[in-house]
Amino acid sequence: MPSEKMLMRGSNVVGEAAVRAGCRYYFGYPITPQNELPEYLSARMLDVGGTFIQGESEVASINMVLGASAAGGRVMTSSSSPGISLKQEGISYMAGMELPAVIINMMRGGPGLGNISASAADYYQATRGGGHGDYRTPVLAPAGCQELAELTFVAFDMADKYRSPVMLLGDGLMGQVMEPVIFPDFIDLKDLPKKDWILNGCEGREPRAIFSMLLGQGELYHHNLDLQKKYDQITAEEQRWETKNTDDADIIVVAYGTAARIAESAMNDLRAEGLAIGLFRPITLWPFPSTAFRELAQNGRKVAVFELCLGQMVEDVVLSVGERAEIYFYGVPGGVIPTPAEVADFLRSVAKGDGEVGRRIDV
Amino acid sequence: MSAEVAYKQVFGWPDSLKKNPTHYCPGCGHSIVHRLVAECLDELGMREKTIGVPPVGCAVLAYNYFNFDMVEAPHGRALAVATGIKRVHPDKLVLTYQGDGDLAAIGTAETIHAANRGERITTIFINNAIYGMTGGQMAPTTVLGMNATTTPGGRDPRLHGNPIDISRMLAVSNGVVYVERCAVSSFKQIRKAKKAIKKAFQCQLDDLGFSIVELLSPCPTNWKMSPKAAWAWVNEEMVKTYPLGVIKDETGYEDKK
Amino acid sequence: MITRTLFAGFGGQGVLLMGYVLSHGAMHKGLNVTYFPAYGAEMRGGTANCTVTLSEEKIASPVASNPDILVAMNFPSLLKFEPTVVKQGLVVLNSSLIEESPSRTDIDLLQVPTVELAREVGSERAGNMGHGGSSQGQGKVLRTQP
Repeated sequence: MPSEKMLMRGSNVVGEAAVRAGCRYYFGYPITPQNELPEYLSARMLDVGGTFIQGESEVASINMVLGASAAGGRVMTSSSSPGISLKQEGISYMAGMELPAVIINMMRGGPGLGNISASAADYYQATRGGGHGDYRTPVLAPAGCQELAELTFVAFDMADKYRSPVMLLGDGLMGQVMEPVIFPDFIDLKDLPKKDWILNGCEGREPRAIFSMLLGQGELYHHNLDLQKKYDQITAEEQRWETKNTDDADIIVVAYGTAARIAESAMNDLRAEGLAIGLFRPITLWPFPSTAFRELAQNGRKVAVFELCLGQMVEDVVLSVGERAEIYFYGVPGGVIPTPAEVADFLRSVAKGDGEVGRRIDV
Repeated sequence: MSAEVAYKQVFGWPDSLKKNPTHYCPGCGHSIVHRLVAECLDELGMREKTIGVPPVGCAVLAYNYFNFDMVEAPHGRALAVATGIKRVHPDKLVLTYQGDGDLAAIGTAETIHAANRGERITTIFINNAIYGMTGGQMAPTTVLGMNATTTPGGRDPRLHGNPIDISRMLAVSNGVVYVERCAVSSFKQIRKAKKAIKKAFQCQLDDLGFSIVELLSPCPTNWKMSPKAAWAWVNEEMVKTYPLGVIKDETGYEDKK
Repeated sequence: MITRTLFAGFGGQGVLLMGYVLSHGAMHKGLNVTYFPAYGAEMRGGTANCTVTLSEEKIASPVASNPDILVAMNFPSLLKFEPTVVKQGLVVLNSSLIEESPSRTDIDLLQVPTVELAREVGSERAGNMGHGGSSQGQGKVLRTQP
């Protein structure tokens, strides 16, 4: 049975959803603005007989995740931008070793220690791999508490299906905002996917080894080609997005997560003024929903990209659309959250083509 | 034909070792320690219930030699990885096999905190006072005056810092129940080392806490010595910085003489 | 019908709890709700504010350009947020602490002697609850049960 409607903070929503999705192992290190998540799970894991460890660092925590994943556990960790940088070593190893795990990133302002406000400046890090080596990490970008709950389930299933770390990319606002949520029912742990590759002692079978070092002639070459096949499959099958008011739109706003919520309000206000604005919201950031977006961004429509950083996703928009549409960009860095009114100014400017707010991207 | 003779096997290949030739250099202590670990697991009947974590270092390919489940860890993170494994499989014997650089330099935090949490894990710690795989650079355990490729003229405490005695550091933690330092540079010491390793495993099986056996181990190649001279150097020089013996024992076991 | 209420004051005045209680009540009334706290590095003594948006329709942005209701628990909050309130919006002042009046004339004003009211009911710490209640008393979204 799904839960009753509950008013919950985004970080806690992820924690509850993870437990309901069968996660019984959590390892993490505190960092604002996502501390409510480990706090929630430290208590919740006791209820369900799971494991919670506050590691000595993000580095240690991600490697505990690696070990628990190799041992067959449904496992996750969470952090915010600086902590995610520290976890990149483990993420790269897990990509190489094909180990599933869910990694939550409630982004904050950077670079460096930055600030603790909501930001979206880690799009490159999340979607381009982040750590060393030729790998990709599927990235899901929720835009509200209900979706945080639902995408947490999706993230665990994707991780197991593709034997890959999967990142849920929110930001400080997604971590802190409270909205009513109805949780999906608990997964019966017996129904979790069977894994025939895990380490659980070699009784009755040959010993297994899980590793990413491949020194033999051609071994790493072929391993990378195999990984690429998996990434091609994910790209073909997992693109997710949402559209609003795009049918009659002259301008398509592209935004994800918190930015998409703000952009949607701006769109609603401008529609009342008679401007035909539509919204395209990527839900998977990698793979970027290029196919669907390319379909939309034609027939003389303008594309207006809005991000909580100075322009990262806009590159994927350019890669998807190329010269087929005029592309405009407006971004706000440093953990400053603009209001719908400010985004509306940008969109008015795009409509007029006067270049007063934001900038035209030269493709 | 001869009369029937009853044969009894007194020596053989341990089940816990695969029949693969190792890549270790002549005179290296790793092969000896691999065998000791394997013999102990066989004797405890734990081969099929063991999950091991090799280091980054010369023993990174240990999964080619040990005949049980193993997972590679990033450099220094073996005890964090082992923590994750042990929490999923508390009924399995989980061991890490780590060198001095892995355990006492890049992985110091992971080592100290796993030990301090009292993780039911056993660490086999190979101390050869040098970075073997990367070609003879200074290790955290390089003794004073010793030549490494990054300590020209010998390790000078003012320039390079002091050798670290991580075993003694770990012994102060309440999570740690058994710490012993042995060597694999004489037959007598090798027999002692095996006893210590077995005891450390037993300590995990009995759910007592964290256990670690440090093994002073020769590295003739990077020490630029013959295997025989390397054994002698361990026995005569290295033990001055790292004295052998039990450092901590709260197991309560009565040692059989 | 959408109502955005901005609660603002010192950390420790119960500003976030006011917003939370309103959000919770609204959810149980079947409304869509978003509650967005502006959080700082400091735990106490700093400034605190939260935005609660209530609507019968799905709510897009939890961040409000212009609040319909400003609940100001201290003078700095009035100073900072008064200009952002919509025309004909409502400003609810904690008159126990704020002697000044808003400079704007295109808003409705409700001055609530928060501390005195709370003292009357027996606990000064209940000031935020009384104040939060007053802020919605004139609103059209939530009403007290008859």
